[in-house]
Amino acid sequence: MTIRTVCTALVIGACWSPPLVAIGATTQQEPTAGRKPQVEMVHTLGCVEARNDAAAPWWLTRAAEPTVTKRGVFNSDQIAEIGETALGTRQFQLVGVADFLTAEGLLRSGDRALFTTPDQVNATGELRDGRTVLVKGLLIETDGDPRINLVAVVGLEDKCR
Amino acid sequence: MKQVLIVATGILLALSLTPAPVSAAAETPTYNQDVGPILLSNCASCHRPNQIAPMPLLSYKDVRPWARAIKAKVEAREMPPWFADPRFGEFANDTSLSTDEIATITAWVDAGAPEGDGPAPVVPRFSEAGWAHSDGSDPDLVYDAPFEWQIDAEGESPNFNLYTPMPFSESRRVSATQVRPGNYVATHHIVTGLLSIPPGMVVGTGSAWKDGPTTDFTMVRDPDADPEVLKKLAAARRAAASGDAEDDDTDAEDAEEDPDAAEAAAAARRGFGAYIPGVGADVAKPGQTREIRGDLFDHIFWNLHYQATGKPETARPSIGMWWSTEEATTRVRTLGINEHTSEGLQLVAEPPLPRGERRAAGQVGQGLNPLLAPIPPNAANWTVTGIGAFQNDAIIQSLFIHSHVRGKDFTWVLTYPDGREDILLRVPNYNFDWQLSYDLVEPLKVPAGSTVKAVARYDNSRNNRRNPAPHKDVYWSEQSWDDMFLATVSYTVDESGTEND
Repeated sequence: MTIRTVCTALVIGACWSPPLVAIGATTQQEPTAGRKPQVEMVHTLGCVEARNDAAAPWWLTRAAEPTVTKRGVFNSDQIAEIGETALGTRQFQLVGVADFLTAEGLLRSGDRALFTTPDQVNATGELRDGRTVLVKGLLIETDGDPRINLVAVVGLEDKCR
Repeated sequence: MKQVLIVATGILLALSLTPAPVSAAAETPTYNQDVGPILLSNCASCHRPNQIAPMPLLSYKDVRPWARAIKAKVEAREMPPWFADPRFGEFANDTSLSTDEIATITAWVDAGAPEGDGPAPVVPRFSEAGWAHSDGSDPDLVYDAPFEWQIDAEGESPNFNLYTPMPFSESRRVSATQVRPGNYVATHHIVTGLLSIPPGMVVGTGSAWKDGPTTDFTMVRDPDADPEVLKKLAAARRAAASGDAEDDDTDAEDAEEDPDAAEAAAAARRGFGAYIPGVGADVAKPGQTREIRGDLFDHIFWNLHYQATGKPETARPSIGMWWSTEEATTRVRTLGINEHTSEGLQLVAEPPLPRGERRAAGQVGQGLNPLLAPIPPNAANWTVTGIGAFQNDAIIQSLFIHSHVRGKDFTWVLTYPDGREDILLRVPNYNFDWQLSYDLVEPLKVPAGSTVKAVARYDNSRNNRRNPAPHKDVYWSEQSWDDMFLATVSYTVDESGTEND
């Protein structure tokens, strides 16, 4: 499928003529492959809690009820609006955290150190113990606490509200 | 003791009958026995007439003058071109040589590159016309563009679009397509697609771009069009120019409403594929044939980008099509990479402006580019990470990344719903001249709830030999002197729906 992929990639943002942009826009928006999603994309906000648990070190506690959301980057108006939401009582285990930790945290994650040196780290540092954050990710229901596989983390306050 | 001697004799006998690796053997490798088969399997698909490579390597006579250069290139692993880190993933289109194969070539060259006895190795079947289908066949239909583009010796030209009639008016199922540039050196890329010329417009004579050369294949106003139609068209153009058009985000909105239909429509418009350096024919895997919808679209659009070579050039691109009677059982889909971080920052967009102000502010049709900060002068490890999400079970087929000459290295990481991470692919030395797709040997089933991350680094320093201007900021656009971050995952789903049960 080499060329189809290439074609898709080239037209996304590469060309500004209407037909090409149309293709690109559609290609970037395939959230469910035509089916009801098995897993919802959600956003919520809550407090980050780092636990001394190697199997599940990162949690979002006092979290608001998650809201089904769209893909794509937040805009600043959305962040301000969602940021007004009151915290709640939900808690979620956070996974896929590496890119949102500190540089040191990313380098300790999985196999990241195999291809990343300290001067090459792209880690946002938004996920730190005790902060209030807005997160977006895939909501995974489990027998225990649900998980969120993160795609975005935006820091709202340095302390938990 | 006797038993020991018998065993030892047996081992020696077995060893003497087992062909030893050439690297360890006393015998000198020859072209006919050892080197020819390696070169024909791994190099000749490009090193043959009418291909991108500068010389053919199909026979001993072809190869002998280049023996020392071949040794240098294979020892440096510059040829065959393959850029994936062997520690991660296995890829069906991996053309890299094994250590033993490189040792064989080296030993052969060091021994004077002998031809050897016996018959010459059999040359695989290739298209004599230069097409690149993996089975060596020629297309069932070749469409030669009705234009021959003239490229100036110097200067820069933008992307531009030309429009030519579809060669058929029915839906045709294809097992493969290929876009050939007609001039490899001067062609930066060609993207094709399908469209129908809108009311009030025709394909006719006009400028290829503002103040550009005249061509007979641009879209111009239809002089015979109904004045009312023209009036509506003018209003639509004004709206589009201001970003106020009704259809600014139509596709995106359609995709939210009915993603499958929107994706199917996009697939229908995708046409015959693209030409970019290093890419050959797009051959469908079993069950993945596709339809070229001549019944829905009356024209091919060609998005063309040429580059000056120092002398005047011409290029007449062409399209090859291989028909198929096989029903498609699945469709290859593309996962959007929709969230991004860069240089330690979560990317956040500006609030959307009122419709009439969007285009001027760069909020229409430019994707990620406006969100990325320029790469500063001399930055050697500028980072961008893109994240995509699988909301349904999927089967990853291939991975692709596109950047320009500052692209340095790329790594694809899969995060499972339980938090485990796997590195799917690492390209430690990205090469703009070889924009390869990486096709998994074993398509990878990933459960709903997984995410993929494309971690990219860019080098705007002097250490990047391809960097034309390490002292300048690098902005983000489709032009080669700027840079891009485009990452895609091609995947299929179990169309029977059983994976959802």
